[in-house]
Amino acid sequence: MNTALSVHRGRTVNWPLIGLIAAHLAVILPAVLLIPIFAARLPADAVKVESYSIVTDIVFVGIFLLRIALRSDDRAGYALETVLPLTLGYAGTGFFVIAGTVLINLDARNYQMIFESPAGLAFTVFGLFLSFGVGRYLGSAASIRRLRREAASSQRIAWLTEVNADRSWRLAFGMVVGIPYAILIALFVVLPPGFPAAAALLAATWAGLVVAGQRASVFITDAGIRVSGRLLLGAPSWSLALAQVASAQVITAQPRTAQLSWNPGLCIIRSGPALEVTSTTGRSYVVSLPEAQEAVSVLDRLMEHRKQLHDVPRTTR
Amino acid sequence: MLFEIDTRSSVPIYNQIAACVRRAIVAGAIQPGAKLPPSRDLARELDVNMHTVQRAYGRLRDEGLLELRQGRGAIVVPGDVVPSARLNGLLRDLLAEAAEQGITTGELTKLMESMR
Repeated sequence: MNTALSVHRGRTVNWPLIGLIAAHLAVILPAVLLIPIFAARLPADAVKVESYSIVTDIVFVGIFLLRIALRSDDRAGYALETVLPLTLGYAGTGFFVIAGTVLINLDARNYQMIFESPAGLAFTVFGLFLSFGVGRYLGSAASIRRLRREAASSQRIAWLTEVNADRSWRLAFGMVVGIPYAILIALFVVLPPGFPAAAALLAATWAGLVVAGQRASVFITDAGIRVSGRLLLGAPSWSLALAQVASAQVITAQPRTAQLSWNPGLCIIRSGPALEVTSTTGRSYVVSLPEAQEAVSVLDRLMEHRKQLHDVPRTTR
Repeated sequence: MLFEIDTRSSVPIYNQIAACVRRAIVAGAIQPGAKLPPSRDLARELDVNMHTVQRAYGRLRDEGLLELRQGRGAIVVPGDVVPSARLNGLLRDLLAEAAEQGITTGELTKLMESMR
């Protein structure tokens, strides 16, 4: 029986997502509580921090609640390796932004936003990397444990490879992500009092992401297939237990289609051959892979192996 | 590259991992200069201890098949693999396979002599 799948197919309360909302609030609330605690040492208009954090949190929790309402049978939307980095990354960054704002405003005469202070910016960037790093680590560990639990065999098979982004991905990513970045940068420059440091940081981040490029790790094992992006957000990432794989085939893919779709099941970072895996729910997952043909052979062999393992007890009974 | 181990086998897991790499090198499935998966990733996927993978890589380094560089990971020795190292690797695989099937070294030697 596929435990994880049956949990996601249940029509009752979605406890994993409720848990993630609770985790989000647990991370962010201590920072929000700093505001009333240090109220006497903060400038009069420091209440802005509180309203900012409450509004962004309502939006975030609202998105999650919407995900629960619009739940589907597909696991990708709830994959821990995708949701945990985003949840902990967002909540952790929020914690550092609010706590950093409180710290730089302690005993200050005038209220200062965190983006106006180099120390505040550094604190935020540190928090961003730390939060997403912890989220990625926990998400990856959780998905591996789940897949292993489902496999539970003494014979272990693993096929591992890494894929680097090519020029076509850099071009597509640079354009698609560049547009919202350009709007944000323009806002930071135009809006009074002007935040040139924050604008420069955003521009540097965009250039850094384009130059560094995406890298993806592909792990095919007797437990299932796992694809993990290596950029800061850890996205796109997806995983499927072997029991959920219906078929695998080689296709030709272009990065621009994936960039425009924002689909976490598409990890297309090169033009050319890609591995397409169709799940038992009919959804397809794609990863760019120069050795796609070899990957298909490995998956076919593993599925055959799994079938034999499951057939043996039935025929001997 | 493909790694296959059996946790119930009498052959130690690090030997099984090392054998996978040897076979891949001899068969040309991995080219000289190719980078092997980081030991942490491989250990995680095979659900074994990271030190087990490091021990396997260390053994292959001692045999002259791999270079272990700080920060760069395990790399297959560039150029032609030293013939003796390749032969050593194949013999180790053969001995491990024989041990798994309960064949002693003496019996294996006799078997080899009978084939000459």
